[in-house]
Amino acid sequence: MSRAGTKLDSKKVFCMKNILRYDENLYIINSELFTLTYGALVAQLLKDYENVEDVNKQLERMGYNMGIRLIEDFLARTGSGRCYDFRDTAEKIQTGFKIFLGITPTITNWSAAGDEFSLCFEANPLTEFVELPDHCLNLKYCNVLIGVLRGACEMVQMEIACWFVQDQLKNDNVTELRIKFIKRLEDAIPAGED
Amino acid sequence: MLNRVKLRRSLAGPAKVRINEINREALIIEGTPLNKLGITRSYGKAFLGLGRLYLSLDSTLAVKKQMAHSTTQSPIEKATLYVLSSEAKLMYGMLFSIKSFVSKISPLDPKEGFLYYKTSKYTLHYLETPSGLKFVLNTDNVTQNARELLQQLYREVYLEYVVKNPLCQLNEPIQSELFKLKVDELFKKSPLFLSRSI
Repeated sequence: MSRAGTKLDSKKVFCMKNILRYDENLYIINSELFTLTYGALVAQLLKDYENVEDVNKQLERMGYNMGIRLIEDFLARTGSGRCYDFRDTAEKIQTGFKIFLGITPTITNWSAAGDEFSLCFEANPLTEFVELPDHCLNLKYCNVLIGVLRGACEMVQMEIACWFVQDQLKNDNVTELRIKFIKRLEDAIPAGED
Repeated sequence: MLNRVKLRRSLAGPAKVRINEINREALIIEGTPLNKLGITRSYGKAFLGLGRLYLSLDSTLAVKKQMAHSTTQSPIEKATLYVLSSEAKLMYGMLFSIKSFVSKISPLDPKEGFLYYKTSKYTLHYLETPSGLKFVLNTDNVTQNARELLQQLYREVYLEYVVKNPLCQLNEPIQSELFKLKVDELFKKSPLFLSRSI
């Protein structure tokens, strides 16, 4: 990741954050303004990059940069400690969506090994007025969420992979986000320790 | 003071810290108002206001680079910076050792882990968030329960003025003046400080 790119991202994050108001531990914001702002952001990215794949990548990267900061907010706000298992993590991710987006996705479709689950969104404030035009059917409009989750989990020493299985924008019934646990990242161990 | 150095040596000595493996950074600042509180120095990943010195534990290289770039610094400041950098390494090593020691001897799964330790001269309070941020505060032995203060520092100052400040890169030493100011304010209005200055 180039340095210039990182700076650009944080500026965009800054623009997003400026319109938020902090009130009694909750962000209060007009949801339409939020939706339209995100829409404008994606539209601008589409103009800047032209290629849909690049936009997906860029959204993910911006999300990642948000996630590594957002996790601190989440931890400070909820005061939560370490997760004991991945189900615990799933619930915390759910809480996160409740805090930051005001929606409660349902946790479903656990894999047998318990390392993979789906979040299903009935409503999604990001996609409120959105319709994908024909030339960008490959666009993962909410890819920023994937980045946020990856960034946030990485900061609590967890590597995860996530991807969209279904998307309401592509005429599915629900938006389904699949999250898979990959591995624990260990603290750096000084040499000489076992 | 002597005790303190000894303790640190003996604890941190065996664990040689290989600096290029550490990607957490430490920041060291000395400040006068904190002395009143009995706080001699503050260390930690995201620490702490008032003074003028900061450090990155990233690598000795980074420190050397800073030294080479900072032509405005006096030789004494450079020397202090160098001493503090090795101190920060020892600090990291010591905390790491204590942490793993505490979790190893604990009969139950440790929830909070290592909270503080106390010597005849000073107390070291420690707070680590699940995201790996380490807040460390050295105080005199009268000051107790500084953990709450550290949590407050995390919640009200670090979060608000570093995490939410896009100009602060999270993996670099904090240089924000506003942050320093707010840390100062927080400490000055804390009961620990007020009870002392009467």
